Amino acid sequence: MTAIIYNTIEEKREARKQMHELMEAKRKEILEKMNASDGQK
Amino acid sequence: MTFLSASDINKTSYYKVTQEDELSVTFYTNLGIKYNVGLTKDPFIFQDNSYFLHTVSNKHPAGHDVNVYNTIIAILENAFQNSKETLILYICDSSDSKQTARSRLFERWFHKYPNNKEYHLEVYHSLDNGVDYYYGLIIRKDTPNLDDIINSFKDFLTDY
Repeated sequence: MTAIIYNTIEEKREARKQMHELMEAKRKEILEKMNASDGQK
Repeated sequence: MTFLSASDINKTSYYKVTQEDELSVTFYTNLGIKYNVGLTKDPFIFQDNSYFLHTVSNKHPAGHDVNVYNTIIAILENAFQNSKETLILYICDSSDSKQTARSRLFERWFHKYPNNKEYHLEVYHSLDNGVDYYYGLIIRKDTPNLDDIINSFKDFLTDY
């Protein structure tokens, strides 16, 4: 298990920001799919 | 390689899960709430075998359904069965400001889990721009370099 190296604090902050954005986008995508499939029933 | 198998999960889970794709399953609770539980490859903290857990429901559950917990545990156990060196990360959803309660609930569940001696749960809290964030790391205790992995997880979340 190898950790990804960030050379600066700014790089790490940007990666954390992107991590939150990724998970929020995933949550919204799943919710939209769920609501769409519920609407078809 | 990490993957989820609905047929294997259903051997031990309370709710019957349905395969969505290689890394996610869905299930319905007795109250008709639909959950999608799955894993997303981590591109930020570790280079391999590392996944973010997501648990998304189509309605806000009223109260705590212990059977949801039992089902999520069965899903996590399946991920570890398929690849022992899997590392699972989670971020408590903060969109409704209930992240503290979610984190505490998950920790309570984990400590009640009968096989928890095999796993390590590391919870990290940070305050960023006035928002509390709770992050978790679940890993088998027999994973090589366990302490280094935990330190790398905390290092990623810390400004130093």
